Amino acid sequence: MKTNAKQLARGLFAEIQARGASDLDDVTGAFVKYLADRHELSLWREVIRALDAVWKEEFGVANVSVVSAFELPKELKKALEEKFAGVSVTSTVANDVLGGASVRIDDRVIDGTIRARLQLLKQQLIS
Amino acid sequence: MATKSATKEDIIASLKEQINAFTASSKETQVGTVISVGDGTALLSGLSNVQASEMLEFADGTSGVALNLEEDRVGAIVLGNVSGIKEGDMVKATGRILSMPVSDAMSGRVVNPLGIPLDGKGDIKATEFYPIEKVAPGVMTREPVGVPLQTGLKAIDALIPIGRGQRELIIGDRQTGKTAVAIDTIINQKGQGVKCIYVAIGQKESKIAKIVAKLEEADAMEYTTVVLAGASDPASFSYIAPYAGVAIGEYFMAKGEDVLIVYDDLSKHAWAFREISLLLRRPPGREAYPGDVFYLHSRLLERSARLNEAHGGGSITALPIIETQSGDVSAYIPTNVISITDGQIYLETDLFYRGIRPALNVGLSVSRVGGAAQTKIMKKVAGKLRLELAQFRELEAFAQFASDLDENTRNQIERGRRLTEMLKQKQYAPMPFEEQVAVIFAVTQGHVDRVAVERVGEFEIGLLEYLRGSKAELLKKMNEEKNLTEEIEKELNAACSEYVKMFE
Repeated sequence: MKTNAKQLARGLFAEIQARGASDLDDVTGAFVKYLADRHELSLWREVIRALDAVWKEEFGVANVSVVSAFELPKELKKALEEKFAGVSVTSTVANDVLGGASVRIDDRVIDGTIRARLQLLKQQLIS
Repeated sequence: MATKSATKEDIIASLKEQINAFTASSKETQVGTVISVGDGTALLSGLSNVQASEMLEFADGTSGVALNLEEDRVGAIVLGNVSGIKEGDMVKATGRILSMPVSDAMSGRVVNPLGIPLDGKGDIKATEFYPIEKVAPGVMTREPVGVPLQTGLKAIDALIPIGRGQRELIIGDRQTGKTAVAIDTIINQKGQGVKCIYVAIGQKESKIAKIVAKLEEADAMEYTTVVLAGASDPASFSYIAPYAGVAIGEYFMAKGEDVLIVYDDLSKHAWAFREISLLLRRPPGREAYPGDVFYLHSRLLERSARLNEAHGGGSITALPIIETQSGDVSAYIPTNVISITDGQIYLETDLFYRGIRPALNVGLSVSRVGGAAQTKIMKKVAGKLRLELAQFRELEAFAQFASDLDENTRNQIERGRRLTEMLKQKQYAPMPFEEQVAVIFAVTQGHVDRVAVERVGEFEIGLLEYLRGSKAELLKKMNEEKNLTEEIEKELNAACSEYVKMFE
């Protein structure tokens, strides 16, 4: 029977949860082999997207990314990781945001960068 | 110089004021990610709370509209060039439903379906935004069609009268004069207080340039807006163009004005919708059109209405155009649109090449509600015209085989030939209704019976010149009274007899 990406993602998630983080590489390795045996490697993108959805169901949030003009202080990074336990938290530095930071939590963005504020000001002045 | 520097200072002061008053707040925005892009459409992930028809903003600034809302992805159309959009790009939901900027300044302009001017005459300051998709006015807000919308074409105003708020389909093969009928109608609205909107869907830009030039020449552009989705624009533009046009119409209707809107043409609109639907992987149905292709046009045409006095009394009259392939009116899209509209003007290639222009097929053309809107005078004069023409056509076919005909039949055929000749009309030459009445009256009362068929055109021009010159009072009276009183009938008969003598 053909399994869809969501079912595969659920299976992978359940297995990782049961075996714990220490066996992560083994589980993912076995999963990739399983896909390869079934000639379904082309599904990997869909599985990753579905995994996000499954992750979101379980933890409420799947991905958090922070873009800031300067490197985040260590305490802040730690606080973020504690706040979003079990979620992948990435932070990147981009000079073109000028200042402040923007936080993306799955499909929501809170943009507090200077660049966004300047754009808002520009829009207001034009209109 | 003093005023100039004062203006400069004013501007600086106002800018400073605005900058001081500016407070930046960080709001939460909904975003998604581009999964794939192709031919005017994009598949997106994320955007879990996006609304149908909500406007989206891609990373390169291009706009889009969310159309397909599925469990874990969103199908959107891209309103612009897709070459700047990449897989993995962020897409923002704007929270705004796709809407059209509208204002009185739209008249006389050529705009694209997003309201951006294309005529190089500067920006259009929008006073309001009207949603592109809107529910049509309900039953209680409407009124039956009762006021005529004169097309200025004898054959149409006499036989298939159109009322304000009606939806009359113009249908025919390519090159049969469909656009010409619509443009003549727009030209004839000069001084009638009707705002006109011409929606060009997937048309050649050279054709539109020609139409705009003609409208300008006839001083018709001042009350006309052209909404252009050209043949080189993406299918998404063709898809939203008629809705954008009717949104402008609704703005004027809400102000109590009468609006005439021409959709040229809805066959291309259906093609654009089919293209988008197939790219968004909606299941194809008959002729590969999606299942909701009927709803596509019914929801558009239902927005034409005549509102009652309590709701401002405005109206939108629609003239949708459909192009048939080799006269096949029973194809999918033509039958759909025929069933939605309140009648059709059927133009035929054969008639066109026989020199009968407008190439109107009187038998197949109907107006289901316009009769109520026809002026009394036209109703009286043209009442029997349809029947006479139908009988003539039958007899004419019969007469080709029979050489001996009784006098009655021969007279009927001769009268029919003259009627057909009289209903011919040149392009860009719409006629006021009182002149149409006079001309038709002359034929139906037998004043033209002794004029040779090939000289009927000449007779018509002469008669009109004579009436305009010597009987201007009579024409004025006909225009004001709009009824064939005994007095008018007598005077008109006398004038016709007088001119016949002069003509002979």
